[in-house]
Amino acid sequence: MNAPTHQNVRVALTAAQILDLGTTPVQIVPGSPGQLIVVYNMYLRLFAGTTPFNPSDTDVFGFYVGSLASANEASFGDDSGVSCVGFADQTTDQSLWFEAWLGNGNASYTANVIGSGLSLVRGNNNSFPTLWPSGGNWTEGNGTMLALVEYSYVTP
Amino acid sequence: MPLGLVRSGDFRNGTPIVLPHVFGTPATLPEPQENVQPQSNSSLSSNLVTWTPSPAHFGNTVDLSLQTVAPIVIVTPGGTGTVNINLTQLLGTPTPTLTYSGAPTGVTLAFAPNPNTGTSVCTVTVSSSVSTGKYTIAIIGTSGTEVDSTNLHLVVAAASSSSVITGSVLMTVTAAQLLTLNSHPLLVVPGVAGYVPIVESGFLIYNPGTEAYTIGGNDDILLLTGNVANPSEVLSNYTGFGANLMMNVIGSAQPVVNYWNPSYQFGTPTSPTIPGVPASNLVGYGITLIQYDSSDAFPTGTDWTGGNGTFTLFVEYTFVKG
Repeated sequence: MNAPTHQNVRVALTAAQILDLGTTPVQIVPGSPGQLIVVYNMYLRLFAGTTPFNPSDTDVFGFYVGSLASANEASFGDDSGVSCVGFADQTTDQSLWFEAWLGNGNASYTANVIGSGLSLVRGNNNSFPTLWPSGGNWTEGNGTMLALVEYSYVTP
Repeated sequence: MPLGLVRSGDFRNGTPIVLPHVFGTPATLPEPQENVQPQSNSSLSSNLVTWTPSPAHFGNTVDLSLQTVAPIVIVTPGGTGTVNINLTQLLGTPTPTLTYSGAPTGVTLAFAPNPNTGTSVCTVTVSSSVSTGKYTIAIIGTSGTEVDSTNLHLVVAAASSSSVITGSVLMTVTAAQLLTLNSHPLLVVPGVAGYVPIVESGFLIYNPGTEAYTIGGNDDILLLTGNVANPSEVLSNYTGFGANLMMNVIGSAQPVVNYWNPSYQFGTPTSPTIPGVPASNLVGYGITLIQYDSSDAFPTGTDWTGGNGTFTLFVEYTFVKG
């Protein structure tokens, strides 16, 4: 059969949203009932502000589908997320690519993933993504970000 | 002919069948049954034993079995494609000579080596005059009086002017296919002559049945891209699925899903030791689902036992000319 239709989304994140990502995920791609989201590219762009963010050394960004309520309820992108240090704490604009898959953490309950949207979250890589929230929210920074995701919906 | 083996043309004891039929003394020897070798007796005087055995080893055990891997090959007019003809020697060490029938005019098959001693490469050559369509060709192995055959499905597809072909597969992998996935890798996407296959994305859902599979502790499930018959020099998905974790630990009661990592590693699934793989092991080959023991390199491992769950498999692919 034909390949599914690829779509692209651009979501702007405010400084307030970035500061709270440790406890409040931001949905990037809405869910579609009865369908799984398949990703092809995940990218973050930082527009540096006058005050850089203050991540800890172990803070990571991660995309996920499903639920963060407990282990095996979400599928995460990349391996344990991508480090925030060297990106969010910079004073110049930055680009950050993620590995284009959602299989980190092995299998997840299908019922949690089907129909779920794709969200961006932040955690501590010592326990992320199996334990969340972890790492707390940031307290400094006024830059903004742009999340770009190429994806498709597939009905299993 | 082996001593005691009854073949078509032998005579058996019993009452001659002369019209009208006369009932007489029952035959003292049992009728031929599968896996039983009745005794022949050249002094017997009646009842020519005739039958048309199918397969041609009635009353005897099967000596050999052939399998086409992959069972499908896609070739453009004027092009060639290859599959493997795998031999399983069930009794003795038969080395069958391979022939074929049913090929349309303009299609020829060549086998190397021939006779088959284990695996023979079957090269399918399609002339430019062959019409596009689907054809089934019987590949026949003959060793003495032993004969077995296997089918090859040939798809003659019009040459694409595009350098990129995209598509996807959404399929159910049955319990029967899962139970033999180690010994019988499942071709998911057939190769396209002249094109390199690429996995773009995909996922695998395990749908539990009423009985769990008995799975080796190190068993993994992978997608291989390239020539499965030469697994030390193919590409595989960087991260396979731990079957135990996915299917028995968290997945014993409800369906679970895992995404394929579209990244590749080179060489064996567990031991990338070479910086590249021969293009000849990729060009023209497809994408295959395998099950193997991850503590060693494919094709190690064994088939699973028990179990009746299924997979829902989605693979999005691109073929690139080159």
